[in-house]
Amino acid sequence: MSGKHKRTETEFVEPDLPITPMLDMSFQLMAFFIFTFRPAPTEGQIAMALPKLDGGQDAIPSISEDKPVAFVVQAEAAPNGTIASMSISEKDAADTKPELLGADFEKYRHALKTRFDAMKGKPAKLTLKIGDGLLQEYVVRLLDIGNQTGFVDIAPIPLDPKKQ
Amino acid sequence: MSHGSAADKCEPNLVPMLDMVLQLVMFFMVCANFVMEQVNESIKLPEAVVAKPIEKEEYFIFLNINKDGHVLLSALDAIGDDRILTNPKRVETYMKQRAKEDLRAAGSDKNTVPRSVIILRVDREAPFVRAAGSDKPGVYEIMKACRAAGYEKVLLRAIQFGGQIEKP
Repeated sequence: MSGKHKRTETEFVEPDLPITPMLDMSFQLMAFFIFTFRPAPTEGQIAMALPKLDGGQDAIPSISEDKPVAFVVQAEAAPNGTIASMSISEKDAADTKPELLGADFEKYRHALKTRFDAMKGKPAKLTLKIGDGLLQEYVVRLLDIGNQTGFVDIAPIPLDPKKQ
Repeated sequence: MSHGSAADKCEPNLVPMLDMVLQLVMFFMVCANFVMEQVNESIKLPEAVVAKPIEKEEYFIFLNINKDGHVLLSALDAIGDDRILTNPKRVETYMKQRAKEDLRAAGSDKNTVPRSVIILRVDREAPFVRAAGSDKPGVYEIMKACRAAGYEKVLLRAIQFGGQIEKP
């Protein structure tokens, strides 16, 4: 033995990375996500004030001359919880005869729009008096149209004064 | 000069395919609807055009109200084992406990308002006011119970709806 190792030239080895199992797993993962994918409807929110407590202190009266004009919408419920009839009137107005709107949301929208536009920027308040058993869907719809027509201060309360 | 031999391999290039599949996996992972603990998926929310995008509130209490007017609490929100509050009196008791905790956590004096905002997720079929002779509590009664506990702010959740409201 000479004691000397002759340096052998190593052959170039191409690294073999097995892609197929990785691809299999990726497909499985993708299938899992496709089957469990449920696009959630986008939720939004409407800011509301909670009702005043019984006998609670009222807000401090504004010293501004622009006292808000208050409109009252009464919504009666049908036995199945839908809207049976609606009417709109102006609170404290000389002509207190309410305008009947039936169960037509387009009439309701038009009535609100006409009144809001007639205010010409003066503050306006909308009170929704909700009949017993009316479903939340319709209350939100009334709120929604009220907001769309320009009313910001909207308060839904029960139609029955004992429940307010 | 040889024109191919038994040792030559003919393999499709899988790398671009793998890239694309991994990108798809990433897409579905990111878009996956991770269930929020406090949001009850059985509640069918009404639609509203004016519903504004959700702003993250720092302190909030979720109240999920089902179509029977019962408040469903998540495991995170429940005090004890009671996860369904079936009447407004129990809601008031619960909310008063939450208000106490809220005030204690805020280090406030007795007469201040709790800092949390109440997020109401109300089923579209829940009654707003209790119908005559019905045992289903109305949403208004629950709102009053929250007010009695000292809370003032409430956000009503709805599905954002882009179109014109159709006639009923």
